[in-house]
Amino acid sequence: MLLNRKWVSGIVVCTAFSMLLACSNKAGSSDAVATKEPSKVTEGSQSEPYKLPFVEPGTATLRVASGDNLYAPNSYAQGTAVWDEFEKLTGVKIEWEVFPNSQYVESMGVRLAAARNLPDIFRLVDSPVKTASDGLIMPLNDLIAEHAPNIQQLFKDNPDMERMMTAPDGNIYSIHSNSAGAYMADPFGILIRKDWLDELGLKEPETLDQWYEVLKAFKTGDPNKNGKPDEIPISPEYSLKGLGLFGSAMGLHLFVYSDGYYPNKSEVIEYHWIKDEAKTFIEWLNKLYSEGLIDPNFMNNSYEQIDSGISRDLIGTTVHFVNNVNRFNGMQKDAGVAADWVITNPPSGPGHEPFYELGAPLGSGWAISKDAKDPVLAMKWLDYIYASEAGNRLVTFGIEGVSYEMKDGKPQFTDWTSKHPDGLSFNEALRSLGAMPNMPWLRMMDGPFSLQPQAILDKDPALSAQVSKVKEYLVPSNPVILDTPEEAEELARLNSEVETYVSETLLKFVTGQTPIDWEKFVSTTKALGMDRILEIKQQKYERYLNQ
Amino acid sequence: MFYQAIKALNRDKFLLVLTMPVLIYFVIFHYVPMYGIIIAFKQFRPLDGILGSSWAGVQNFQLFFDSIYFWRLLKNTLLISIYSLFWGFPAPIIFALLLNELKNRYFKRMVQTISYLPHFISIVVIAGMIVTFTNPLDGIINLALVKLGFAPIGFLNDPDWFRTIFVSSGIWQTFGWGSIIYLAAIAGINPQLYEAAEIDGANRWKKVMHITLPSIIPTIIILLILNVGNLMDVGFEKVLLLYNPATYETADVIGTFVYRRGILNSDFSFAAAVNLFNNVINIILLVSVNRISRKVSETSLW
Repeated sequence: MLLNRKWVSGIVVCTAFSMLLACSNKAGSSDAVATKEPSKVTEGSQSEPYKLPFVEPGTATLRVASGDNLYAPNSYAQGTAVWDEFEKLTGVKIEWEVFPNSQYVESMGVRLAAARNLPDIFRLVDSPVKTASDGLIMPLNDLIAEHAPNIQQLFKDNPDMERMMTAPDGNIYSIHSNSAGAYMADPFGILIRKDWLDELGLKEPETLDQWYEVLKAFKTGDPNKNGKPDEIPISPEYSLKGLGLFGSAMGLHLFVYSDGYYPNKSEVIEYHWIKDEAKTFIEWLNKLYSEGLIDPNFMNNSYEQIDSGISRDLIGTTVHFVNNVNRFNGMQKDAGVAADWVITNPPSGPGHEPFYELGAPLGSGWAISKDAKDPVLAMKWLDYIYASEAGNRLVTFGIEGVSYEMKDGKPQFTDWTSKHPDGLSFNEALRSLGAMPNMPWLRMMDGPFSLQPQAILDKDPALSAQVSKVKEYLVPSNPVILDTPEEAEELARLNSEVETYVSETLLKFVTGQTPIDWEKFVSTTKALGMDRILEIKQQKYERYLNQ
Repeated sequence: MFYQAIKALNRDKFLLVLTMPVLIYFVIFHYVPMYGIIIAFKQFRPLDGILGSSWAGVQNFQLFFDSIYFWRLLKNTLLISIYSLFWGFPAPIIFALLLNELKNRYFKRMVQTISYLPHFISIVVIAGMIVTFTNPLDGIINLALVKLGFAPIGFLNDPDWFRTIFVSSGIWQTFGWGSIIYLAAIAGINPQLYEAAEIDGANRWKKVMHITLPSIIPTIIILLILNVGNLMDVGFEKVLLLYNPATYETADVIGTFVYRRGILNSDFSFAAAVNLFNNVINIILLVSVNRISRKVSETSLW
């Protein structure tokens, strides 16, 4: 999922030339709208707040396509409490066109390529700019200015969000989930077996040297006490990029969030995998790998394999969202082991501030298709489910009296949610109602839409303490900025070669299949177009800063 | 001339009606969609449709040929195919010949059924089994290696092992199923030939070499031609499920490259261009092998 989002930024098929062409011979279509001077949403005239329900119940239908409920037993198509409630409140019947999540991008991609009979609202499978230049969706600026009072308010309170959703041509084509608050309350970091550390009389490692000592001790000290050196000191997900979290010790932003690209102090985007520090880092990883401290299968690792290693009491360290410590402890308890998983502080080194990265605040985007029968109704409906307080309450907290109740004017989760009678996890319990949806929704860092992540932590003081422990180290990742069609096309072309070369070469360095020839690696990466990639990224970044 | 044609039509009218459904099927589902190939020469834009998108000439092909990985992709694709053909093609023939020599009917049936079974397992499950069996820590193959005193091998992380794993698992999955057609051909051999050979004093080995094998040669050649015509089509799903950046060097094939570039990035024109390139090579191979075979062995597809 994390990796996919990076991939999605995508190639653009249509050139600006064909776009102009299409516009000139199709006046009056949605393309013609796109060429109009876009108006900045927050400067538009304030709209009249709309009234609920939008229509006489049962007289209007919206077709909505998205990935299905992440809690698979309760499909949206069969009706869920939260979305039934939305139907009641808005009067609009929802006709779901859902796909299992793993198949959504491919299935919907094919439907979009056919470009016929599209649903009114759908989750994008590609960048909004590309989808718009394919002529599949309409610009939302005017619709938002006239029919979406809540989204306007949201943009007014969070100008950054509007900036990130605005395409280079000045239009807004899609609205996006915001998970900044959730990342804040559930950071992605390095998780370790505290009980193994205690067992071996070690303290939590901080520098890379200490990490080496600890991992070595995990391998040789037999902390799982079965008499065999079968421990896997570290088994990460996301291959080399997962191990990239240790780059914190050298100021390297290598994890999938920034993916190696990060602006330096003078606002110049750099590629961290080719920096000199990265060489030292790769050498460190090579030492670890050659001594058997890294899972020999780490380049093929999936989270199922990591889970299986953890339940068999083999894995000492992995990387994940911190909330997984509960799941890991639970899995090991089922296997008869009293494990104590904790998040560590990010690795530190001389001259660098240690850090964990926050994920990009904006997630998947939803857009109104060119085939939408009633774009105004679709906009109002999106506005309500996405940015109204009542709508946000439903998608974040679920149903009052079931998943949450009001205490001192604040929503608090019930035990039904945290200790579900059928043994569902917190997220599963909420999702079984249709909350935490596969639809645009907000979990902000502050403001009225920020209550849920904290409310979840309130139910779990132990986890809350772990989150607080690393809170001061959290830094934003390199901002995701929308490409122009030309930029997207060029980046995709260059990236497919650079990405292949870099991941392949570095893996061989780490596993020792080829000796580390750093100069050749750096010069080849540049020859394949890294300089041009950085130039484009810089151009995008400056556009973002000046927007 | 015209009169004769009418007469022929009249004579064969029922036969023609009988072939109609198949003909219509091929026209509708195999020939009509072929016009979509033109998107290989266009910048496909969904809203404009296949016919309405603007022309791009050979730009999509150019992009593919210009890639620094073009030669590696071509080499990997061909090598995996050729190895699969070289090792995989004789396997069902040998198996069919051996099976044919078995006298116990029940044992023969059992062996046959067991050898078919892997054919029915989906490729995703096969890949899952390979990953599990070759796991360097607790895969059954590596456990056996360790017990025998060898060091465990990271089969799926080592480019040198990729083709071996891919080809051998492919043979294991398909040799039983592939032998059916040879068994059918063997069943059609006139028993009088064997009787005559026995009277001449031929032993079993002689009978296999001089009667069974020559009798199925036409079948073998037809299948070989068909297989060569698919040389550029590697089982791309299986590669996708088994490869990772550490093994790109030998595992990255045209199909997976197109998947990463064309499908994941929705660049359908690019994907169509590469696929068209593949098919043109396949057709060239097919036609030339067919021609050689016609010259040398007088057996050919047409």
